Amino acid sequence: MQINTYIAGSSLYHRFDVRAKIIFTILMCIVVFFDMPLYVHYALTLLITLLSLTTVKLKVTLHNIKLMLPVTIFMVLFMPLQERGGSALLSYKSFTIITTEGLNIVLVLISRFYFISMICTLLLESSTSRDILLALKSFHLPDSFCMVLSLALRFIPSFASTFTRIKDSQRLRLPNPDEEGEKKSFTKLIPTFTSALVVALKSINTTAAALDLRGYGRSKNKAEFYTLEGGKKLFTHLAISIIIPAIFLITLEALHG
Amino acid sequence: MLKVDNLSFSYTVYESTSNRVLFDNVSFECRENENILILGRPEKGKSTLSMILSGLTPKYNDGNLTGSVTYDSLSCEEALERMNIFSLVPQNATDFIITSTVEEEVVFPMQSLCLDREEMKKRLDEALSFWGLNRYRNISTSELSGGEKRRLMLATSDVVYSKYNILDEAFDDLDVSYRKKLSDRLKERKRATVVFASHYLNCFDSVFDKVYILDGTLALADNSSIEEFSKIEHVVFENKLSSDELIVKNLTFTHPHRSVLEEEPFKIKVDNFSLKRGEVITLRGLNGSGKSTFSSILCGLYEKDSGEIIYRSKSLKKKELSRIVGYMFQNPDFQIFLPTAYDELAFALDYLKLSSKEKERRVTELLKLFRLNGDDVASLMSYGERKRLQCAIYYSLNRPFYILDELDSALDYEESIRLIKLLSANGAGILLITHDEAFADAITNHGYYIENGVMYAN
Repeated sequence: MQINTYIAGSSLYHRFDVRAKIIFTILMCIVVFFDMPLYVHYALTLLITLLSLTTVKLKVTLHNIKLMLPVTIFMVLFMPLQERGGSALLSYKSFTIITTEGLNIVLVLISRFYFISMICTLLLESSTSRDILLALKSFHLPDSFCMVLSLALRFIPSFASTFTRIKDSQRLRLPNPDEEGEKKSFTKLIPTFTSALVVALKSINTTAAALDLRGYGRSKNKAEFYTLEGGKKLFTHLAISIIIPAIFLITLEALHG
Repeated sequence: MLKVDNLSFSYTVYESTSNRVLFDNVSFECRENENILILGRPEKGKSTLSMILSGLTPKYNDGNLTGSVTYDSLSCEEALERMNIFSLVPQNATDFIITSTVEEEVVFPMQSLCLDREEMKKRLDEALSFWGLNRYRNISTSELSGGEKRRLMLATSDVVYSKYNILDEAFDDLDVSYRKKLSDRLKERKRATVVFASHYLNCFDSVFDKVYILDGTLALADNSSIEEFSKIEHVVFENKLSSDELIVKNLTFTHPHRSVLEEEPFKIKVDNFSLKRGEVITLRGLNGSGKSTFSSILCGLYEKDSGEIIYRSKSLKKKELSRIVGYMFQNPDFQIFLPTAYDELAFALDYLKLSSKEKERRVTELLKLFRLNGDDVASLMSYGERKRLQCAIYYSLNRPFYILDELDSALDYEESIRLIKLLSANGAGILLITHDEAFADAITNHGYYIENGVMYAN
C-alpha cells in the first residue's frame, strides 16, 4: 500500500462516498482470500488496474506498480522453494527450483498482494485524509486512533517528500553528483537514512508541542467543523459497496458448485 | 499583563558541546494592548524565550529554567491549558503544521475551543481572506512555500482571539505587502504582542511601545542602540569578474498541484538571466513566486520544460548543472549525517582521494576558516553553527556558482557577509535569495526579481 497524498480528480471513484469506499475496500480484501481459480485472480487484477487507470491515470498507476516490484520479486524468488507439490517445472541437476504447484501459489500470492495494495492505495489517493478520518469517526472509532491516523496521513507523505529532498541534498554535496550521486547502492543511501532519521527525531518534540498548542486533548467533546453528506447518495453507494462483493461471492459459489 | 520575572535558561549540557547558558535575569512586562519588540542576533535565545513564554519549553525541550512567567496572574501551564490566553506564531512553521490542508490547520484550534460551527466559519473566512490564503483552502500544506506557511501560522493564531500574541520571527519569509499588513494590524493594538526579530525592519517604525535587545540578558533599547544593532555597511566585493557566465535563455517550467484539481498549475518563465563568476547578485520575490523552484532547476534538481542553460558556450543538461551550481538548502540538517564536524568535512574531501596528511590539513584549515570545533557533534550544534558547517562543505566543493537560500535568516549580517565573501573569494558567482531588502541593498545593486513565476532584471 502506498500511503501517498490525495490526488485531486473527478473520476467516479473520487465521487464515491468515502464510507462506502472503506467498506468496499475491506470487503474486497476479504473476498480476495477466498478459494478461487487462477483466472478469477487475473480478472480481479485486471479490474483493479482498470479502476486505477480511470481514477488516477497511467503515470500514477505505473508508479504504484513500480513500488510493489521489490516485494513481488522477493515472492517470485523465495516462495516456490516453500511449495514442492506437483510436477517439476524447472530444475537444476537434481534440485527442483519450481514445481507446478509452487508456480500456482506464487501467481495467486502476487495477484492477491497486487489487488490489496492497489485497492488500499486507491482509497487513499481518491479520498482526502479529512474525509477518511470523518468516515472512521462515523464508524465510532476512538478519537485517539483517528488522531494517530491523521498524523500518519499527514506526516508519512510529507516525510516521504522530505526524504527525497534529503536524498537530493546529499547527492548535491558530492564533488561529482552526476556520477557518484547516481550510483544506487545501499551504502550510498546510509547518509540519506541517517539525515532523515535525525530530521524525524528532531520533529517529534515539535509535533507534540504543536498538538499541545492547538489544544489537542483539551476537551472530550471537541466541536466538529466538517461533516460527511448523507441521504440517498450514501445509501446507493453503500448498497453498491456491498452488492459487488456479494455478487462476487455468489459467483464463486456457483463456480465451485 | 504578561509578566516575566528573572528568567534564566540553559540547555542540558551534552558531552562535547559547549555550555549553552542562553540568557540570565530576563525580566519585562507587557500590558494589555501593548506591543513589545525583542531584538536579538541569531542564536541568542529568541526562539527559546518564545517557547518558554508559550509554556512549551522546558516541557518539550530539555533545559534548566528558573524564574517565572505569568499571564494575568495565571501560570504558563494554566494559560496554555486555557488556549485563548495567548497564541504563538513559531519560527519554524513547517514543524508546527499538524494537518493535511490549509483549512483544516486553521480549523483545528477552533475545534479544540469548542466554538460553534457558524463562529468557526466566520473566523476561518476572515483569517484566510486577510492572509491571502483563500485560494489555498484545500491545498495540501506540504505544497505551500515558506512564506505561505508563515501566513498560515498567522491565520491559525488569529482565529483563537487570544489576549496575548507571541510572534517569533513572524516577519521573516513575508514579503513587503504582508509585512505591512502585519505591522498595520499590530498598530491597531487589539491584543498585547511580543515580537521577536533578528533584524530591525523599516516596517517596525511606530509599531512598538518598547524595544529590548536580548544578548545574554534583556536590555531596554533606545534609538542609538537600535541603530547600532541594525547597522549594515555597504559591502564591496573585490572579486575579479570572470568572462565565464551562466546564462539562462527562454526557460519555462510547469508544476501542477497534486491536491487540488481547480488550481492552475504553477509556471515559471525566465527569458534572460545571467550570473558571472566572481559576481554577487540577489534574487527577490514574493512568497510562492518561484525563487526556490528556479534555484532547483538551476542546480539540476528539476528538469526544465524548455529553454537553455548555457555555460562556456555549452548548453548544459540537468546532470551537468549539479556539478556547476551548488545549491545551499535553507535547512542544513538535510546534508548533515556524520557524528562530528570533522567527519563531515573529511567526508566532503574523501572523493578527492587526497593523502591522509593533506586531508587533515585541509579539514583543519576549513574548521579555522569557518570557526568550527571539529569535535562538536554535528546534529547537536546550534543552527548557526550547522549553517557554517554546511557552508564549509560547499566551500570545499569549489563550485563555479553557488545559490544561497535565505542565508541571512540563520546568521547575522556580519556572519552572512563573511561567508558570502569566503565563497566568492575563489571566483564563484553567488546568487543570494533573500527577503531582507536592507541586506540585499547592502550586498549589491544588481539582481533579479521574480513575480508570479516571471523573472525580471532588478
